[in-house]
Amino acid sequence: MAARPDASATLPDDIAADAALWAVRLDSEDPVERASAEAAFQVWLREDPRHAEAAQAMRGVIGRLALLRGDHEHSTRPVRAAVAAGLRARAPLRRTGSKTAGALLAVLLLAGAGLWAWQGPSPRVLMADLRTPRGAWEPHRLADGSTVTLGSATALDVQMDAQSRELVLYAGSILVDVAHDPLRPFRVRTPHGSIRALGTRFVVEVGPEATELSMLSSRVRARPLQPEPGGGEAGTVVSAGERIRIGARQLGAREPIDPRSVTDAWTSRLLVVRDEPLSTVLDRLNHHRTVPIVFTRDALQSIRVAAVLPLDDTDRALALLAHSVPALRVRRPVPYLVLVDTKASP
Amino acid sequence: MPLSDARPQSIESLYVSHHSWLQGWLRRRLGCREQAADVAHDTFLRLIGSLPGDIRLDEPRAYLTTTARRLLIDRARREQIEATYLAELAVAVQAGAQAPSSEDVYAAVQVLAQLCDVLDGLPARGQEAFLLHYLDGHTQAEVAQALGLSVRMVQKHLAQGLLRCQRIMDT
Repeated sequence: MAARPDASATLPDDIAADAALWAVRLDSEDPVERASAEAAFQVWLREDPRHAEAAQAMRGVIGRLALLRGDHEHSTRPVRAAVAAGLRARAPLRRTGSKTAGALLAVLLLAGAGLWAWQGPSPRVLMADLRTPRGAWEPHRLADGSTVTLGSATALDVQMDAQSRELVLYAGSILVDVAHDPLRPFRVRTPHGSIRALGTRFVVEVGPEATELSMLSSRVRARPLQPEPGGGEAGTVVSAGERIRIGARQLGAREPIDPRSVTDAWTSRLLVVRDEPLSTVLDRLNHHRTVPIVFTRDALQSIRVAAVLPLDDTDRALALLAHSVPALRVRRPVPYLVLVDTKASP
Repeated sequence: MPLSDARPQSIESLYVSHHSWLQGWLRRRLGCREQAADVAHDTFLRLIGSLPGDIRLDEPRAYLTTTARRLLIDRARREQIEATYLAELAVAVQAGAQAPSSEDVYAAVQVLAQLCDVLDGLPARGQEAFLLHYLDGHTQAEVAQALGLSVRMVQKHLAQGLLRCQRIMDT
């Protein structure tokens, strides 16, 4: 990160600042302004030999900036988006003036390409008590004796005191084994709702629009963040062998699951897909990858798949999918992304 | 700065007393042993850099975690920049753009991190003026109109940005 020593770095601030302003004035698109600036600039140059050096350094800076623009229409979006993300990350508590409409469009664009998980972590995620990077599995023992295993790209805060025990799950998935404590209720909060543990073992996974709860043992009470009035404020009991989606406003239908195979899937890191759209499966794989799989959601949504896929070797998982879906095409034009589409695509 | 009448301590003794504790603290936050080791190391480097001579800290662990938190934010920001850049690149490549090489991407991410440093020191309007002109290629007059500023003000912002670029970006 250290720059090579540069004569201009030792120029006094006021000379460098003047040189910067001259560079900007000379850059004016107004010919009259530019001409008068040029004349005054020449006078300034003659005042001190260091001025020429400073001017030269500024030309270099402007030259470097031109490289950022790149030479095709697709260049500035990635730079703009990356810079906006970088500025947001530096100021987790400060509201930057970034345009919300632009940010929303960016999210939709990424989601359409199967990349919603690559917006980059939110400030809450960045400063969370417990986190895992993509592709990781990490068990933790909490102070009360409960264990929580974090899946890929997971972030949560742990809040425990004399009266209550709470996990705030911002992203990712956890397998929780709640230690028995009749004096302190155990709660898991997510962006979509909350789960109050009456029993012991369950999996919680935060998705883009809902949280998925899989009960492995005993019971919990689940409620959405903003339940319909007269509806689920008290929460709904979910029992072992049931999976339910918790949306911000309401709970989805229950599905039966086999607790043992969910547990096995966690311990063996397998994704068992019985009958799901390919786009959903790729979303799940992406969650465990550092190199994104890029695909067009609409195109792949209609292809349904069944498979048993290793989540700790998602390249192999992709190969397995390509094998069972003959129309699928997997390309790696560069090491940092994988393109998946159908052979019929242009 | 927590100067105090605590006993002076050497870096070595602080390291022995707190390094492994700090690594544990970082490991929980990062979920990765390697990354935790890197950041712990950098934290101590910062300590060496910013507290020359006798080190007297009332609460060494608080000081270490404060420093480490700043480093975590820097690191997270770099991840954020890279992730977003890659994602947008992927969308562009999918739409038919030429995919730049990994080396080009790496270099771009370095420059972008520095650009964020530059912009971070400018007011919001200044950031926008800088990006509109030097990235999007709008004229100074167009920038002035878009932001409701005088051209003189736009020029001031641009110059401030250029000065920061010179100080921050590699030659």
